[in-house]
Amino acid sequence: MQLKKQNQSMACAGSVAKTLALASCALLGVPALAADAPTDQWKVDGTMLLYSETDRVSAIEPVIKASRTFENESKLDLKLTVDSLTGNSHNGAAVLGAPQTFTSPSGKDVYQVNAGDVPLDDSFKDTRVAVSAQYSWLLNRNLRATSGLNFSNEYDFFSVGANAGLSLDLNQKNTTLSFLLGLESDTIEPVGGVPDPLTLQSDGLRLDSSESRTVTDALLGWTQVMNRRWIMQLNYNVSAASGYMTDPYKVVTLIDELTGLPLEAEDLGGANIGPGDGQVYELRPDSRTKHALYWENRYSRENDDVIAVGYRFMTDDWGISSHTLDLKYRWQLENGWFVQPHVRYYTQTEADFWYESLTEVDYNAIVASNDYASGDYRLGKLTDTTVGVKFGRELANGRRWDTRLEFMQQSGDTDAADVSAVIGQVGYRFYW
Amino acid sequence: MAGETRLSRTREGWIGRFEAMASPCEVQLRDVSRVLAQHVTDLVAAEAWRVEQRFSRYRDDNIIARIRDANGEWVELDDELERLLDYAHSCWQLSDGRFDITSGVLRRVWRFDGSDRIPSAEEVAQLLPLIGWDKVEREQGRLRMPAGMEVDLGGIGKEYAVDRALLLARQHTSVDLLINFGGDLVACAQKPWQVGIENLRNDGVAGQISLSQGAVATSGDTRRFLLRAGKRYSHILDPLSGWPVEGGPHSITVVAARCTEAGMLATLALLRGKDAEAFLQAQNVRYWGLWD
Repeated sequence: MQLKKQNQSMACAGSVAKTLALASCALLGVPALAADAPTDQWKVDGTMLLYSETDRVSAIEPVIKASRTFENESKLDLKLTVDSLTGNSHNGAAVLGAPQTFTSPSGKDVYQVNAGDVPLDDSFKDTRVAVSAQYSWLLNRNLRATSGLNFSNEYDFFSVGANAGLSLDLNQKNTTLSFLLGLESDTIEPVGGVPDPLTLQSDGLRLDSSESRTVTDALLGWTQVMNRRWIMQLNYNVSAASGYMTDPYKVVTLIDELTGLPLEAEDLGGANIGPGDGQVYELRPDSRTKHALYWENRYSRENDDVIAVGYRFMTDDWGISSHTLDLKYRWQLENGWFVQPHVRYYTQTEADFWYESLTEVDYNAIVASNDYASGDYRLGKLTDTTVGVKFGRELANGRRWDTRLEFMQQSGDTDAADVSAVIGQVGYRFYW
Repeated sequence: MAGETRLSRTREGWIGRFEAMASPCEVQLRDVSRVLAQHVTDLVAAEAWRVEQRFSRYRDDNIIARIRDANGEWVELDDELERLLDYAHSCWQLSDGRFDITSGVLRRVWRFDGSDRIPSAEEVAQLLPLIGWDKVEREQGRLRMPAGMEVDLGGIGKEYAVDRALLLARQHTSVDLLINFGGDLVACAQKPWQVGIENLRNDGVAGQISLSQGAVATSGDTRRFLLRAGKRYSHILDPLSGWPVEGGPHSITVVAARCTEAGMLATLALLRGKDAEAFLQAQNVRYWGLWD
């Protein structure tokens, strides 16, 4: 551990006193007093997030988090999220120079998309409600156990998950090693039933009414206090999913290999519902293993500004690899004000089975070899850049408000991937 | 640790007195029977003597002696000492290494007896390899450090004993209490106690505060210094250099919620030398300092 010979800095108002107050309480084995840090109260964080893509999806997401630390240093975290999405969602089809015809998710209605337009399904509307509870407690001075449950419910989706883990403090609490194992079980009940994959959408063939998948996650974490100002964290996460991972509402367009225009379902032996209706339901593999490495550094400068640099690498057996670089700088201003600019850069490679569109020959080969195909731009090559700023103020009694405004610009291999979005958020924290 | 307690009547109740940690100690109680006053005084005294016995560096039969004599081997620790070491670790971090419980070895060459015996730079430098909390290895329930090093909880022990004593007393009574071990004190009362802030130099009073919940502690001592060629050497030693911190006050008194915090804020301020006052102002605490 490196020590500075000279440090003329004065920590921010009362920060040494606050840390000492907590350390004294730990020494005496008493709960910290409300005046020091209100740990005998519920800490409540409320945020309202607005996300709006230009001409696409809009979301409103209120979140309430409540956490409480008890006298025995056990901790309970509760979270309620409501996510309300509306707008136009890309249905997977290619952007082509001729009109195309699709059925609505239920299969009951038909809609057309003009030549040159991104095929969007305008019936997209969903509300998700998710709740989670996480409890952690000390097994001994340096070993903490944690366990949690979470539920998420949407119109066509239900998920239940559980996790359990341990974290061990070593090296005078300068090192923390953690291990977390999570299991999740999802049930998908697509509107109108589960489509028969790789068959023509115009035929509307459906299989069962629901599908399921399970996801197993394991996380290994290493947090290291490098010195008084610098904390580093390295996480490795492996996630194995098995079951239904296809998007039941997405199609892949079949095109003529010479003209590049959409094929007609009736020419392929299917039902005719309009021009450019040669669209087949997509199909994804029924297993996916992801490995992700996340590295984060937080450095507090002598003037109490904080620099945070995060990098994440992910690779999976679908052929997608991604890199995320995240930079934040927090300026600590007078009277508890802070300003935090943020830049995020994300890039991913495409999945092995991603196709902007398929020719009849490709399609037949995929069906014959039990292969997969998806035109979802989220599985294609993507790059997105987010820039924004958050500002807010720390108030008396641990209260705090903040607001965030960010802009995201995304591009990829297809016009469908060109999305820009505005993200706005307001948050308020208080003790209760 | 033998000792005796003496109880006397006051206008509002009782005061129990005893000696511990080389200091006069007292417990003041309001509106309480003699029997309860005696019982609480005995509890507080027993706790003071227990902490002194367990953690004093002047004994050779306690854990501090076992650590000093371990000669580089692992030493088993109990929960209480582990908590104290965790606290010392936090203070070490907060002070960028200037509060260091391994720095007591410097007393081998620095004797603050008002004389002019300043150690040579070489004498001091020879001790520096034996100082450094970062040289101490800790694992769950045990500790190991290079032979020749020692730990000294003198900078924490008295204030810790005051806070511990209040916790124990509170389990037995809810009457108004003031526990004072040689000027480091804590109050817990409905009606405030009037606490005088001593001016150590001329035995006068530097200030007075009204205290119902909270603690006052003083760090520094105007009587302990060395004087050579007109230069005054303070007894606050910087463990990073082995030499006295310059330009700071002789003593600082701080008010905080608990005695351990008050004492440590005062100590950390003294270690900042000439920046002591700026540090205290930034911490937003009440304090009194004594300069030249």
